[in-house]
Amino acid sequence: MRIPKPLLLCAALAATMASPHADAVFVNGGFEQNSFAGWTLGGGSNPGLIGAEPFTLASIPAVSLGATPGPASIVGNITDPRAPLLTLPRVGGFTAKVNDEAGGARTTTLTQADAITAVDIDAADGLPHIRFSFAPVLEDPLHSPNQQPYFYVVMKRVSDGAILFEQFAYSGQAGVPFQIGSGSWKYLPFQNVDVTLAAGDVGETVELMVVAADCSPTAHGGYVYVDGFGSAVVPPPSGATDAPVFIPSADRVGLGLLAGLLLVMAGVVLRRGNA
Amino acid sequence: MGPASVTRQVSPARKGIGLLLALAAVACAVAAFWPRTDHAAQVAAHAHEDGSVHADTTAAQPAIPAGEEAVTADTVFEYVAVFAQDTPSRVLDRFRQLVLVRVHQSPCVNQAACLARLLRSSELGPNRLQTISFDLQGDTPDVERQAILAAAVSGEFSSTILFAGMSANAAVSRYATLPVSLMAGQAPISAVPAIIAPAPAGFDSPTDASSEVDPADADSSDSDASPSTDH
Repeated sequence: MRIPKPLLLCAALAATMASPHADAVFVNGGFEQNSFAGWTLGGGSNPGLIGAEPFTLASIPAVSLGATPGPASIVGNITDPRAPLLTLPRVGGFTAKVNDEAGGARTTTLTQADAITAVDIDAADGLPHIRFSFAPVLEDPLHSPNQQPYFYVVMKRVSDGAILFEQFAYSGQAGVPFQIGSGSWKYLPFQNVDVTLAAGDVGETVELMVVAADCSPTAHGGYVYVDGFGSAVVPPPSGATDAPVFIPSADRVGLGLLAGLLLVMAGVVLRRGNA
Repeated sequence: MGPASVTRQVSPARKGIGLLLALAAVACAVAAFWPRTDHAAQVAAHAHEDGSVHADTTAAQPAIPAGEEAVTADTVFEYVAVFAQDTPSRVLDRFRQLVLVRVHQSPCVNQAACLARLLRSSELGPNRLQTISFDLQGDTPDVERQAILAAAVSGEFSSTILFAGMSANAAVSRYATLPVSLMAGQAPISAVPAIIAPAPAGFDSPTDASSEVDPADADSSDSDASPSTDH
């Protein structure tokens, strides 16, 4: 049966409207592929933070930020015995765990760079946003500060290296509101970060990096849960109950238009049959 | 019957396709107008093929879940630096480099600088201002805290206004109420207490837990959000 050209056109339009936003920022930002697809894992060893200023990325020795990935995993519906009040997974069905509790003076890094597009503009203010959630879980062995397990989360604009968000803390750092976990473990509740970008940042590339490190004397661990990287508001945790549900990203207007197109297509098919 | 009255029958295959298309159209129409629950909106915000999250204008804006914390333009930081309109982006990054991530007088623990957390926000408020919100480490020495605050409003940052103990959104709101001379860096703001912009009379932010730091009272303030002003 020869397919009429109008029908092909309608089908192409419908397929376009029903497809997900392929160009949304961050590939596999919610780790819903149950993998680190789209992300780069790295790491190395932790000989201790460099004493010079500051306790930011510049304090982390190069050997900790190498290409030898430390431990990393994807977790589902679990209870973390070291931080039992954290709700996991944080978003959807899976959350990434960067580094682990085992010690060994390992560091793990998780990185992804991606471009901001018009899809990432929040209708509420007309500006692009980057949003994500993280929760560090660190053992506190009461070593000296530069030997403690630590975490570092940073987001920067690639074109000029501008730091848009950063947070660094070693376990038990003064002024950081760590919660008490089990034993000598401490953790922060999920931090839901929302970075408001400028309208002119559409087209710019941003890079996210998460670093988690064991203590440098090797016996104590530390890790960071991360999830929800993207531009939408990170929804409340829902456990595994609502995850991997696929909902086409077409909105109400799109669905209405799609309905109209399908009706036209039906009409074309039946009319051609009567011709 | 003449040729004009002959009606060609629609083939069963075409009938089937037409029926399927019509049914699909009905299904789409129903989906388009079906009431969406908050839960569905939340799922729609993140449930995509690759699991990535992106802006979905139909998604609800959920409150921060219990037990979690937000780090947004509405989050109260120790300090918020508000930059004059049209300040180039590179100036903000120089602010980070020259003010926040270097030792001025006395290093924090282990020789480190004292920055604990930084959030940069763009185009806030009607004047579309840029801000850098930051927290210092809890063990920041007083002398270093003073030096950081002084550096934040001197030199090439002399037109920067620093607010204490409020969110970026609240800071840009107050910034908009300041005298133009102060915003332009014309006021005598070399003394540390003067850089903490006081709230204009009658100003009240119902949603922000900001500390009202009056320059005249700053010396006696013992709030964590208020810098020491001893010189």
